[in-house]
Amino acid sequence: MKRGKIKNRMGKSLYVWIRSFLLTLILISGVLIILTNWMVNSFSDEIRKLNHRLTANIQTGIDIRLNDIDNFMAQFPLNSDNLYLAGIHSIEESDVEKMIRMSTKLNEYKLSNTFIQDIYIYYPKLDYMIGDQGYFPARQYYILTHDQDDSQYKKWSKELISGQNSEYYFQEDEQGEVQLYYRKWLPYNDSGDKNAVLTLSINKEEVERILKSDKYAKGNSLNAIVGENGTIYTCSGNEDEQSWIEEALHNQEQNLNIETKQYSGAIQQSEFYQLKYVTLYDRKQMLENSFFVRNIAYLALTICMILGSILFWILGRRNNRPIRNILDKLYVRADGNSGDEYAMIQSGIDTILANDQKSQKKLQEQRNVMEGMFLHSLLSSEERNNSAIFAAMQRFHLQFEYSLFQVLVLRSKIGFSKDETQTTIDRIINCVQAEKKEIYAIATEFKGDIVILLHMEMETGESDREVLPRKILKSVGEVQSGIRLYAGGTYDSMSNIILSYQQARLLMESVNESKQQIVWFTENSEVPKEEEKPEFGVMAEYEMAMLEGNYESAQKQVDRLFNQYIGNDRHVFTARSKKYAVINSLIEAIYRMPELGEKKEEYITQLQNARDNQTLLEVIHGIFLILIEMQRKRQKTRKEGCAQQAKEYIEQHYEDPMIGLYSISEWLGISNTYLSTSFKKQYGVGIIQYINQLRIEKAKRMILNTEYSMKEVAFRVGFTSDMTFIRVFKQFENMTPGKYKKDGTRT
Amino acid sequence: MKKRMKRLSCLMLAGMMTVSLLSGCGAEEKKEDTGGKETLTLWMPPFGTEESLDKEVWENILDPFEEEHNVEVSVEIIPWSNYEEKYLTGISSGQGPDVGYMYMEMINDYIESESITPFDEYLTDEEKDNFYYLDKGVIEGKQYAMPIVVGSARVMFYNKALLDEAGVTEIPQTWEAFTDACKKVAATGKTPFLQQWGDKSKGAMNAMFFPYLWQAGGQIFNEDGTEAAFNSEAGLKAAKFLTDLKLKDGILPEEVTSMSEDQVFSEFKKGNAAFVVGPTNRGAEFTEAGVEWDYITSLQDQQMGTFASADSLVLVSASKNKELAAELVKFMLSGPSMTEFHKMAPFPPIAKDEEYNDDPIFKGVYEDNKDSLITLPAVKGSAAVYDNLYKNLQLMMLGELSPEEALNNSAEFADSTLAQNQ
Repeated sequence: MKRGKIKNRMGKSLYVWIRSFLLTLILISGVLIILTNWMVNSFSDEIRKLNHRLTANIQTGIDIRLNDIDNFMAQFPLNSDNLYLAGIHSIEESDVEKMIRMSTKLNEYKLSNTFIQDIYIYYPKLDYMIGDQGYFPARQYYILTHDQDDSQYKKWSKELISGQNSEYYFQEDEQGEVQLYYRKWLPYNDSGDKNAVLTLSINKEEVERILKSDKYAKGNSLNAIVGENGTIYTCSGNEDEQSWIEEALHNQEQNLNIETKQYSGAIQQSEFYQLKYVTLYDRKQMLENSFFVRNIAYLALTICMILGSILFWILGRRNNRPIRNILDKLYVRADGNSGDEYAMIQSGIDTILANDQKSQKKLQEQRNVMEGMFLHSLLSSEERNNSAIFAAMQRFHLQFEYSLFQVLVLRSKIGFSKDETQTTIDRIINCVQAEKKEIYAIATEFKGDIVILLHMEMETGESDREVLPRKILKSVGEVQSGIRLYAGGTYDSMSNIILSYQQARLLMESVNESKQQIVWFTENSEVPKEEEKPEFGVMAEYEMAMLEGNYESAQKQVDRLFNQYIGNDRHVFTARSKKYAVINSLIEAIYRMPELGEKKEEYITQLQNARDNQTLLEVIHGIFLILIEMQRKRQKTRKEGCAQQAKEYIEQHYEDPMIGLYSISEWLGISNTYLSTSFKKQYGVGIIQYINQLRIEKAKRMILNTEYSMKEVAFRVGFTSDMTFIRVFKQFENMTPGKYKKDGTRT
Repeated sequence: MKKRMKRLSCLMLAGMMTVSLLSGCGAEEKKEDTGGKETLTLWMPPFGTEESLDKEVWENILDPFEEEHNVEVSVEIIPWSNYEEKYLTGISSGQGPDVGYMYMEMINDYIESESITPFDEYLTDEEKDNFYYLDKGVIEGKQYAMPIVVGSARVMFYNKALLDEAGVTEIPQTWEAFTDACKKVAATGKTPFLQQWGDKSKGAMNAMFFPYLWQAGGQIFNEDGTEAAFNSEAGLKAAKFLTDLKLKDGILPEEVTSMSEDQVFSEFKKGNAAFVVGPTNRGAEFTEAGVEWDYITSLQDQQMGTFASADSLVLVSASKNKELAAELVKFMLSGPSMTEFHKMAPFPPIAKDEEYNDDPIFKGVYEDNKDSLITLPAVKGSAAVYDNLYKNLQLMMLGELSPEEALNNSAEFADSTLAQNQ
């Protein structure tokens, strides 16, 4: 049901698809049409030019030949034989030899000029003709040259002596075909007597040969020679289209280029004679090639369109699937019946983002509460033991990445209401987060004050450390005025968190009346000295120091031990026991120092042989000095490869949830600060970052290769809870481990 | 977006296709332009019934030659009408062939102008030995011509059925008998005899006038070729014999003055004419047309006599590659080529390496009546004389000129023309 509804709503995306498809279609078609038109036009332009050139070629070719004849004939009247023959009045007077010579001459000339079909001179007075065929009475000559048929003779002989001097003219022959003739009167005297007329007919085949020499005329063009009065003398090529010539001549005025839908062409006027040379091309056929190419392009376009459409359809369906999925999932929240999936998706995503933000905020708040609880419990337990604090951290899913700690206490004269407390804590945390530096803040209400634990990196400079409290104070100032901030000392050990807090509290009590809003703890701060510890506490402190390997502080206790703890005991037996307790711790320490080697026994013997307390004290001090010396040496060597060792340690113990900066520095016997800095310096990442990174890498493999649940994976790689694991995993991989598993198994 | 890209690439593909198409077209055109090969031009007269057939036959014959020598031989078939003119204008204007086909009376003028080159240097003795009629191509001591068609004797064909119908039982041998036989045929309403007086080619005289001139005992020219001899008594007798056949006895119908050779043979093939004179190689056509025919070599007056050709291939001096052109001639005259050629035009073989392929019926002509076969004399300027003579004879047959006028007019012209040979 739901799906059906959504399907109906696919309107807009479909519309968008179709619109883009149509736009592309129109654009491409437009470009193609422009391109092909341009191509066809340039083709026709080329053809037009070519056409013009060809027409000019034909014109020149034929004109020259005709002009040659004209030029040759100009000299003919002066030929002596001709002069003689033109002069006599009857054939009886004539000289055969002269006639033969004339005939031979004419025949030779005819043979030398392929353009000449027939050539003959008519002597009207003699009624005799001499030509390339010989010399005969005019009628006989006519018969010989006209297939033994003399029916047209009279008409022909009349025409022989009419017309103009020196001209080319058209005349139909017996077959009704138009022929081109040349006529010249020779000699011509002023009285108008024509005593000889030379006539020659042009070899039409030869003219046609020249016309046909236009190689491009392959059935699609028409070359023609046309007389002044529009008589078509000859044409070659597509003779079906002779009507074009008439049409073209009719329409042609000044323009020598002819262009119509059907044909294009050129007309050239002969330079010497009343002849026109016409070349016409069937545009359709001439442009056939370009049309063919154009059609191919259209075909290709059509194929592309079809393929594109199929592709479009497939892609559209594929692209729609996620949209549909999203819509399916968002549908409940998507509003309205707009049918605009995109708006629906947008609003759906907005809602999700808002929810996400809300839950993020909630999560953060919860974290803040948890952290506050951790700090509260730490403060109330006054726990100074590193391990205990670390365990508490794990319990509260906390990780301390940086090396320095400082406690700030905010105190209000009138106290904080519950709401104010919450607001203040929020503001403080936001304020610190806004710094975006390597500073992390945890805040809680403790004994009416608000206690802030600042956790930061070494690099956070002194100035930053001074600026931040001011900013905090400023931000909380809006909640309540008259708040004062007391800052405890900065330490690089979790065990000193309590110390820092106590320093702040001491400041509060001692400088209560100070005008300053921020009071800093310094070495010189007027704080009450720590109360003298009861004497039974000396031994405990000594033992603790010995256990921790802190020989310097242990040595400091030794004098007091002998003066107060042992010296004050009047009971000899217990005093001796106490003495042995001190010595035993020392002997244990000696055994823990393998570097001493053979000297161990020697020192133990010295201790045993010390008879009185004074000697024993001296021996103890001497041994302590050696131990301290040894320890320093050891630390020095350890320090040199600490980063490397830390890395190796991490690689071996990453699955231990207790591993962290503090446990490692403790194991290496070097300070947190030093380890943190040197590790970062050497490997470019913080030590906690590295641990997490390694754990995530291991986890990824485990996810892909095993069937462990996420919780199991989290514990196996050293996370204390699956929540922490998921959070860290997301931070590194930008996805949840669950999604990672899904993707991984798919590929 | 992806989709558009796809479309765009499609379009580009199409564009590339069109471009390659265009360039393809261009390349093709170029190919046409650059032949690169050498070309030889061969001019041949038509022997087949249609021009195209000749061209096809020769092109097929020459295919292996073209391939072997990487040469393109362009074969042009020159119609018999204007045949000499075509050669004259072609060769004099430098647009002639490399190899041409000439009949004996043409050759002299070209030797004079050095337009043709003798073959001597291109022929080995062995090759020379192969040919039967090589001596007919020797002029002024040099092998100017390589005879290709020897024979083609003009014999008198007759339609047996028509003669039987007219009751002509004995085949006429003499002029008188011939006239009588014709009259008998005319009586049946059929055409007894046809001649092609309307033919454009003056070669028609080889069948129409010269045989009768020779039969009457005449000659065309005097011994040394300096004067006309056709206007002799014998010539006049022959001319009168012919004019009588047309104008007096009505044996030759009116139409003959406008008939061409093809028209004449076509009438014979249709069975409309009893006698025609023509070359032996046309016999096959008549058989094909279903005419029941036979022939006599020639009529007889003082003697028997008819025309036989000795046509040759010549090597044009203007040829750019004479050696290759000579190769072409030898290839054309070789046994296999001639066998093919003789399938189209049945002539007797010209060389030892070819079998006799002509109709065996004519074997007698070339063996028994060998002496009555006469070729035209090689006389300089003879072509013009024949031209003039033919026209005068045409006018004579029209009745425009008397036999005397016609022959004298021509002789006047001939004497004037031949005077230069003295």
